[in-house]
Amino acid sequence: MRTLADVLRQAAERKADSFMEERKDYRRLKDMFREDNMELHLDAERRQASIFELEQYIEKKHLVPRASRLEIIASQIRFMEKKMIVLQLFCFLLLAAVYVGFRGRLEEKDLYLLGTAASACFSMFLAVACMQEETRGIAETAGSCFFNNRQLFTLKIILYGIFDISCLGAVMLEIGENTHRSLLEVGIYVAVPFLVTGCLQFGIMLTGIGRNSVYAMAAGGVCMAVLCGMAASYGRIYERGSLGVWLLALLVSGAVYGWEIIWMLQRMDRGELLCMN
Amino acid sequence: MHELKTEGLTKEYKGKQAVSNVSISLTSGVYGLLGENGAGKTTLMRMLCGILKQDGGRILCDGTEIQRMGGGYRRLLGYLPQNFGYYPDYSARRFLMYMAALKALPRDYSRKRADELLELVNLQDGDKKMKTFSGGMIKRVGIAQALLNDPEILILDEPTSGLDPNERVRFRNIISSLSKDRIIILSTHIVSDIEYIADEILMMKQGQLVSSGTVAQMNNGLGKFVWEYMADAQEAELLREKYVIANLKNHGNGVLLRIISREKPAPGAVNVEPTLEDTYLYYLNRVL
Repeated sequence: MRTLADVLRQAAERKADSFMEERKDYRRLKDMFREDNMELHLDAERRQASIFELEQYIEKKHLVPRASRLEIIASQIRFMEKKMIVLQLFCFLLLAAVYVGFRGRLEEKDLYLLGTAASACFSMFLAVACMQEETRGIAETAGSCFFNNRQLFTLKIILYGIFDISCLGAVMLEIGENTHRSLLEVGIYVAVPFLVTGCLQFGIMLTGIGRNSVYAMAAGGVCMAVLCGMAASYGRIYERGSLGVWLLALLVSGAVYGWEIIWMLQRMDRGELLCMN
Repeated sequence: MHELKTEGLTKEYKGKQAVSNVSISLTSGVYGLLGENGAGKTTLMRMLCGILKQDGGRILCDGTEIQRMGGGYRRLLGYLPQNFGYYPDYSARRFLMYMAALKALPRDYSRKRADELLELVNLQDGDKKMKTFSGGMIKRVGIAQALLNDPEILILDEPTSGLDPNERVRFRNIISSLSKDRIIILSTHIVSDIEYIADEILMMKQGQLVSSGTVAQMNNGLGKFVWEYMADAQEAELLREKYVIANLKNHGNGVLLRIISREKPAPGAVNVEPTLEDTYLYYLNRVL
């Protein structure tokens, strides 16, 4: 008696057989075409003439070559304005030089002060760099290119963000090692000034003041960096008991920072950041 | 060849209608956008470029909404804004390469194109920093960047402002040579810039499209509304208060007035052929 298993096996075999048959038919057809084509002799002159006509047609159709994705990103990085990166690097090296110069003589609160200064400065440079197109009046032209303003802003914030995270990561490791605090705790102490400074600067940008003058944005960043530094000079704020307050500050500033970026992207999409006349 | 169409386009700023129910259909050719300050020309152009979202209506390129086309539409586009920003420390060549990177053009092609365009706009100082450039030179860099990707839709907002007469003529010739198989929209206050090269004129006032047509159609529409009259100084003053004066020229024995009016302004006035400037002034001063 045939079982279901037998039926299924036979059906599978039949299917496999028909598949193999189909493949044989396909190969046979392919070979037939190949044999037929071998007897075709192409007129070299007519071939050249056809290629020439095709080139003329392409020329007439204004077909512009397209760069590969890698080439697009490489070109963007190569030709984007890098003053802020250079200033950031200078700032980082300066702080590193101060740290190395006074190493061994620095107290815990001095380390936090340096970390806070680095964090706030990096945030200031990030915000200014990301909004350069807007503050220079280039955004209107840039927005009509292949990449719109939102995409350019996102690319910049990612690139500068990676750079900042790398530098601040090094700062965190150094502070953590010297203060014997966990990386998470040090990370909170470093992240809060970064976010708070950024919140102020993007806030200035969103109100329109920053769009008219990059100095207004930078001034806001500098003021916030100074305030953070002043707060950091009170060693008591780094006591374990204050960690809850720091966590709250991190959550609130993180939420505001994220909301400001989203709002800015939406306004960029609508064109409201550069077209308010 | 593409078709750019707007249907009931509207944009409002703080309760004011910047663009109100504008519907146009553009195919290849040069379109001159005429209108006074605040007429809505720049707002319309920004919406056509996709950098400003409209409050109402649609913009279609070959039947597809431009927002949906995204980068595909912007690849076809070349835009020169009225207030053209740049990095002062960049040379013209580097700035063009930067813009080419934003337009996603390959580097070799960009280099070649930058050289061609610097020559086209007659800018020999391509390697000098742009902060050393005059206003006219900056404008020429702006025109060059708009042409980088050989755009099929070219939108130029006040492209000739800051250019001297020689450069304006050169620019007009460039535009004329490019106009085949391309949509070119240029806005200007300078009527003579578009009078000779525009295939069609679009006249805007207070956000609305008040008139459109070829130069001949626009001028014919004005009919017998343009007059010339030689008046003495006192009469000229009275006529100036009462009518729109297109031109006023002092002659030895009086003042030659070019008057735009539906009725005959004075017994000795004679009809003359209207020019585009007369038509422009007529629509500008006409109450909607």
